[in-house]
Amino acid sequence: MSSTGSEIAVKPQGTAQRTKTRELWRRLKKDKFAVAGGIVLLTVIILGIAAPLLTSYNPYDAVLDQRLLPPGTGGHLLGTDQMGRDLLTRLFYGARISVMVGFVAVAIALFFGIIVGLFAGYYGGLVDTIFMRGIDILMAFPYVLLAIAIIAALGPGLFQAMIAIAIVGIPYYARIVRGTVLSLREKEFVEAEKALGAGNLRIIFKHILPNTMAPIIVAATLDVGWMIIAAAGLSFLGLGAQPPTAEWGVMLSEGRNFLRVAPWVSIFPGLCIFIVVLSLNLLGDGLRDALDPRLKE
Amino acid sequence: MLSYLIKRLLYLIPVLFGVSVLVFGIMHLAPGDPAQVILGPKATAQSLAKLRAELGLDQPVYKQYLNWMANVLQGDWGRSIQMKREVLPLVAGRFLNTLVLTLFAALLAISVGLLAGIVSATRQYSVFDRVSMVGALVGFCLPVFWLGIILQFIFGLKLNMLPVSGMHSPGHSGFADMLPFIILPAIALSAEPAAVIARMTRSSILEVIRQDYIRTARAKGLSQGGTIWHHALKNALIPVVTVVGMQIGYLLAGAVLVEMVFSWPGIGTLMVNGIIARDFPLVQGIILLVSTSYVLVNLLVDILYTYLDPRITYD
Amino acid sequence: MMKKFFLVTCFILAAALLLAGCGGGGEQKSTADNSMIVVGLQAEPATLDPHQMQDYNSTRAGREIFNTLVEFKDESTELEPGLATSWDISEDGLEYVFHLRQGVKFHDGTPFNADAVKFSIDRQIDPKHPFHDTGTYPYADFTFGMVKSVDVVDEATVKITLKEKFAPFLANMAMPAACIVSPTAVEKYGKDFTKNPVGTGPYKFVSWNPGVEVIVEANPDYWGEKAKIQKIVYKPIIEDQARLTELESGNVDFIVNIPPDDLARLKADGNYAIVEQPGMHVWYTAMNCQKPPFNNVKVRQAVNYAINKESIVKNILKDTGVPAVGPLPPVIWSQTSDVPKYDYNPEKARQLLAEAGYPNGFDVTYWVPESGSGMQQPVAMATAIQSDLAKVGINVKIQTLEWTSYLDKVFVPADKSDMQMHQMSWIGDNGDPDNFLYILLSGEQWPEAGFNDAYYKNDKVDQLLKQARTLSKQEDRTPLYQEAQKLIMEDSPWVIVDHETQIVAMNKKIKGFKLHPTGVFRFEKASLE
Repeated sequence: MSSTGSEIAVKPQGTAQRTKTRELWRRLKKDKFAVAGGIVLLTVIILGIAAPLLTSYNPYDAVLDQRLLPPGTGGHLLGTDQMGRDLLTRLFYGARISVMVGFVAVAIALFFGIIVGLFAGYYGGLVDTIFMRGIDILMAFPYVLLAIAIIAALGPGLFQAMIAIAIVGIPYYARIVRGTVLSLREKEFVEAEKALGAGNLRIIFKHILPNTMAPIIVAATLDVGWMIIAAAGLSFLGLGAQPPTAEWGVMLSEGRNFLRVAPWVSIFPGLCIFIVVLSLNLLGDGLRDALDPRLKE
Repeated sequence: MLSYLIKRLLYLIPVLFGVSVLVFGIMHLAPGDPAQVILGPKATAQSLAKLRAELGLDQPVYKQYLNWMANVLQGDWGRSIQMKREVLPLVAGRFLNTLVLTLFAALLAISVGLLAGIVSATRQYSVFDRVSMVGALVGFCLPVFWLGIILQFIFGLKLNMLPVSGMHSPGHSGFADMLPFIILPAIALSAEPAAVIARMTRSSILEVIRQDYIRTARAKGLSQGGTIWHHALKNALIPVVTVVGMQIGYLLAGAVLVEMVFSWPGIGTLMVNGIIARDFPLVQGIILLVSTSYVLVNLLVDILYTYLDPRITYD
Repeated sequence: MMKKFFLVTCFILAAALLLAGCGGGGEQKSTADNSMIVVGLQAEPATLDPHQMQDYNSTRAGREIFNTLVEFKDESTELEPGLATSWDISEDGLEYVFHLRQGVKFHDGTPFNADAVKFSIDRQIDPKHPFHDTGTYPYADFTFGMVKSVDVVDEATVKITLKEKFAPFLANMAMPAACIVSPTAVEKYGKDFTKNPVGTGPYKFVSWNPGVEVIVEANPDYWGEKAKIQKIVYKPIIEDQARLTELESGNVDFIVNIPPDDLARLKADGNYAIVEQPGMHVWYTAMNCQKPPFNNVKVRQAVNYAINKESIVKNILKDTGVPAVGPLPPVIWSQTSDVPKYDYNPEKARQLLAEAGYPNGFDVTYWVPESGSGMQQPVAMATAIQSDLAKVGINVKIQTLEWTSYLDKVFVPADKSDMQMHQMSWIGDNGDPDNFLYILLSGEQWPEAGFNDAYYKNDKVDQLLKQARTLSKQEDRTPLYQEAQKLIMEDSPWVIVDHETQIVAMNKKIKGFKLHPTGVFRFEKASLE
């Protein structure tokens, strides 16, 4: 009985959502920078996936008598690193890992952030207080310590580093979602749902969640780049992905020791991080502008 | 306002309690034994057991926590296992250095970020706008440690203008002596927040400009410069203040990396080494101090809101 | 509104200035000090109390504030008189009588005498000593574990009685833990003696600004030859590249731990003096001798043949170590090259593997710390070893761990260990072969009793090492240790890669500086141009 009622109430909402998406896509396509960013990002991902087809070198094969060859020598387009490994090959393979680190860390942060934000915002009162104090505790806790603690328990590694930086992101999303939920909670369609007897969980996931997605998507796009850089910082402290992993952050931080004798070893991975973060930013900015037509005349 | 302040200060208690439980739990549940660290790999099993008893590590964790908390509340933060010194004076002195660095970086970030953001917004799509926004992206993308090493290379070695490590010249102290030492680490630390603030300021001003009341003001004949200065900026600053507040938290985290690169005598190296050495009293002391100040900074930011936006009231 | 924002900014600025002011709060001294040098260390010293020291940064900054009864000679681990002018060892090797130097005073004016010696040792080993709780003593067991009692015979004579015969004891008396400290100062400062050290050494403590610097100055009343360099500033500079930059821009005169690739550059530059000294160090990979596949000596030998150790030393370490032929570094007496050798020979390795029943190799997990004292470049070296072993069919999985957790995992009793192979290194303490061979390879020294982390056991070796401990004369002990080295290399429980060379780079104005195998810097023998 109640389910039929709710479907009627939902329909206009769902249709509106679809038109909105189409409109968003149309606007996004007009933004040259956003399109460029998207294409670059897609290219990097494809290069990462196709890495084995693009190069005949093994990213982990140490050839000690071919260390630190400058770009363009010995059949290495971008030279070799401190273990005599082909730098270009490692950059290709690194694309997989680094881009994944950014996206997975954001995904973890999003997942928990959304859950906390939704429940805190929707239920309010005691639930809100408890959840948000928990978030305050997380925010007051330096993430480097959190990372080191996780790593002390599990050993250093890519996965542990991802969790550590993801936890840092949770408060950020939890706050955004909570804010949006607070403004939606009193809206008519939610009231209508409640009047028709829909369960709280159903309202939260079916009706409130979709409406919080827009601001979150923009925040998340911009955040992926931040996560990649934070992971590089952990690598610098020896707490991130472990050598010999071909990950850009590790390559960058290991390469800093050869900055005088072989600058290319750290400059190229740095450049790759820059390109990915840049394209993510362009895409994110484009998304934001597309979602908020006031900004585009 | 006063009741709001009191309420916020009371909120500190559960947050700090949670932080203290969390740090204590993490430190004590992680594998690794401080006695082993003190006595080194060359220790025998019985001297390890003896030392554990001396340090009270053989007691149940909750008891250790209560003992520690009771002592902390009485001002006795214990003695660092690794550095052998009393935690409170050690950490307080180092934290002061971190704070100085963080504040310098924050000032630099706020002034550069705001300026670039405002000028970019008023001259949207101009050369300055393009250049500074690309610059902001570069600043955002550069890991602090890498930027730090590059700065050392250029200003320390190639130009030989500035020292690249430490806080004072040998045997010296005082503010004037510190200035050349703080420049490079402050620049490295401020790059990312400056970039974020610049972008935020720009887009936030652009958004406000398009709002109706600004259009009205302009229609009434106010010059563009005057309009922006008087009306747009104060409204545009609200989100910027939020970002600044959040960035200060990240500044503290970034400071750890910058301190390692520039051997700045702050809490960064102390904390990383403390964790690696399982120096419980030291790490717990640092986190407690850092968290308290972080929460206080957030409170300060919230109070700033009331100045900037009278519509926000606190009950 | 803007005004208010501006005010707040001003307030932050004022706070910054105020804080910066408080941070210092000391007097300004003159810069132009041409009798001073600045030394760039890897990290801040943990303590300046010699009884609590266990890292290089502490011993380097603080060891020269103190003396020991016997001291190591320059560039060697042979002994010479220090605060004791002579000593007698009883027939049974249990009683050591030290005759003390007369007229020596601590930096605080306290006279040095037999009571100070007794105080310095009892403080560490007697839990009932009134000043035992002024510190934790990592080396007390190692240095004085065999001491039964310390007795004051008279003002200038002290007698140390041992529980059992122990030949390396005299060498122990030159270690940092055997430094003689001023009893008055320990009584005065208690636990804070760590930052107010008072000894009899050629340098005396001036100040310690935490995280910034430790300053010592020449002791004008030193009993021996007085130091010529008047003041030394020890500064922690954590990043290798920053330390180099500081040397090259002239802000620092002396640096440690130069990255191998930059060392070649510095040498070619010619503007700096580079001093090298083979250290008391060995880097090895231990195999679990109690469990398959490494309980088979042929497999262990095969692994040794399969790894190109020369290439690791040359290419990864850039010759910052000397290739090892056995467990003892060449600076230690009784070291011999007359042992079975394992030059790079993958063909032979494959053959041995086949004989051992592994013609197609096997899978193995290799534990590696991400960093650690004496571990050189653990991950890079592991990667090279992994790559070499792959060529003979041994499929290595590297598992990296953080150093503290790593030690926890390695030093467990054999029956609880799931170790297959792992990296370890050892830095010698007193220059005695016993300090390497007995502790690391005797069957009595399996963890947790000791540090035989390969769980190696050979009864003949055990018997030789035990007997050598009880002989007092070096010439009697030498053949026993040489025999043991041969047997050990035949059994090859380890893959021994190198002995790390200590390397420092310094401004050419520093003359006559020599490195010591213990890693301590003896600036009192150097001078400035």
